[in-house]
Amino acid sequence: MKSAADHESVVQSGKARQQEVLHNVHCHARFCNDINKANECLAAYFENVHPLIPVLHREAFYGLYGLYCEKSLATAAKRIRDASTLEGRAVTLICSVLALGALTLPFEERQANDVEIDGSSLANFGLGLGFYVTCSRLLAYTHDNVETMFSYFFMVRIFIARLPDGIIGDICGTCN
Amino acid sequence: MRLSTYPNGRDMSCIYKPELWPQVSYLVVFEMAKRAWSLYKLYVVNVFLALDRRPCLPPMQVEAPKPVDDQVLPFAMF
Repeated sequence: MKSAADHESVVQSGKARQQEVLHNVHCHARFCNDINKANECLAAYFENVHPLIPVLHREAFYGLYGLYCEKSLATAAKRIRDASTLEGRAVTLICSVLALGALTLPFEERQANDVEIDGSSLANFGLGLGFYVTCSRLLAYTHDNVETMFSYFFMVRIFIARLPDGIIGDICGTCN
Repeated sequence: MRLSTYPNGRDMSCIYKPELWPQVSYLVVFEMAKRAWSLYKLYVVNVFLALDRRPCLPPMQVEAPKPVDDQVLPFAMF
């Protein structure tokens, strides 16, 4: 009986730690409602990320982005339920791209130009996390289409980017 | 997604909506999908190897992506 109670407390404390960690991560999310910031993230994606993972055709994606960029901003994206609709598919893909782009923005540039996001070292991470949260919410249900496939790929790529140096070094070496 | 069946033009309407990709042909979208699959497979295999595990991926028989010209004019702000 005692061991079961101990086990229960261990599980509970584990969940509490998990919630605490997730809260600590989520509290850094910065939701972007500025189209100029989104444009910066897109430019950063094609400048810094695209050479490493050349998946998207640039001109083709600009066409999609031009149609749906306004709906990808945080407030507008909240009105979209999931990635089953046309705009849901587009916004999911755009947010996954902008998340990667935000992570590669130069820190100095963000400090100088960004008035809404604080100047801490977590600013770029928070901006990327904000797009990532939107993307994750829209992908709550699996949809069999090319846009969500790209989105999943980019989200996995974010995870791989956080792997230990040895592994990521091997991957980059293989890519190059 | 059954990428290997798409060159035959089957079931494209369910995955590709021209309204989302203005002035972009199905072939370009298909090549992007093949790029994503190829790179995803590469990453997964590398992770498996780094973990000393044998890579196990479904045999989708997707051909390698073709070179597609990505160069466009400088990005214009929307």
